[in-house]
Amino acid sequence: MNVCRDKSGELLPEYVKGLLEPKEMNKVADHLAGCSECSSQLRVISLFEDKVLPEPGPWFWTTLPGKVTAQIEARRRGKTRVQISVWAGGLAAAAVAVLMLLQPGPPTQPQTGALDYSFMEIADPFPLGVEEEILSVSGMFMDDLEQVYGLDLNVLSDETVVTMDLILEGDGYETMDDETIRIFEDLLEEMTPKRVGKWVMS
Amino acid sequence: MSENRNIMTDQTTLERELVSRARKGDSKAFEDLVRMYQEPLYRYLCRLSENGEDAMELTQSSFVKAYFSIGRFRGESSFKTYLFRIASNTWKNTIRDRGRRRSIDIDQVSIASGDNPYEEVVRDQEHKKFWSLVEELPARQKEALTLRIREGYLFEQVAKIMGCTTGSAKASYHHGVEKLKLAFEGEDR
Repeated sequence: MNVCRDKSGELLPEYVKGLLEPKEMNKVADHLAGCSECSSQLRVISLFEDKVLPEPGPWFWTTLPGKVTAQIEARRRGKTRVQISVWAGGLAAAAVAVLMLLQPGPPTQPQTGALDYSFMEIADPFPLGVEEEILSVSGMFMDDLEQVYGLDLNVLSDETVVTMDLILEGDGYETMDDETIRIFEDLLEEMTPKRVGKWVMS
Repeated sequence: MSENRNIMTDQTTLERELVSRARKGDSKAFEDLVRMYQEPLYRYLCRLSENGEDAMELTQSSFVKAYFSIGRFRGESSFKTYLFRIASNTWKNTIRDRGRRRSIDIDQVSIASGDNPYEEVVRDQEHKKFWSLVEELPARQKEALTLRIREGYLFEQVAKIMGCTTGSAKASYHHGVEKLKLAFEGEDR
């Protein structure tokens, strides 16, 4: 891969849009005249930039905020039902779920001592699609997790880290949709309270 | 220039206030955030998904996900960056769930007219080849190109949205550019 090291090459997206100051525009133009790499990159950027997007129309823009709110309300109602079923279930898995829901949140001090990564074996049979769903709803929490818990997350996959996020934070239900909650509960059934307890409390 | 800065400051203040109220469960405040960012979010998802209908669905579900995880948004980046990151993950999940990418209707791809420093007339064949190559790009490369070129984010911001290092975002971008250059291979220059 040939990449031009001249700084002008980094400004090509702004150059195409005409966002640079006149002096910079001229400087980039001069560079382009003598650099085939940047010239062909400019060609790619221009084509990529110029695509016309379909316009959904005013109806979409007007109704979207209300639709989002309606979906949020529907999901909230669904979550309540799931939580009630967890409380009423009386199964070992339900007890685990309740334990996690009652967790007050991440500890204020980083945990010390050797961490038991054997728990992570549980994440292995986790269906791939669910891992990704959890990854998406968990937003930016991975960095926070590393700071709060003082963990070395480099040894783990992103998906596993986010699974930890849900377990440790205890409010995973807040960010999961109904389908994810269902599969997450199936996962809980595979865990023994001892293993979860060991992880949460260690 | 200072007028623009004032407008930006007003928007930032308004955004913070709306986020703060939405975190407390004020759905009207969240609706205002939706109104504020629905168009840029739709356009971003449209560029990623290459399909208007998909982009409409993804926009709605991204906002819903953002609502349920807003408690974790700490204001270290802009709400828009946070929203774009959730949207990126939502789009990637959709691709994986389907097991394939939706085909671009290449015949419907058109070029915008207007002022552009690059004034070469692009031939139809080359154009189709180009968008076929875009369709084949790995998700991360397409995401990096979209964020850098179409959304105008700097690489540091691209990396934040993609959840990777700046170096990795740059590498994805440059690998994507290299692949798209193949559209011009074999032609006389």
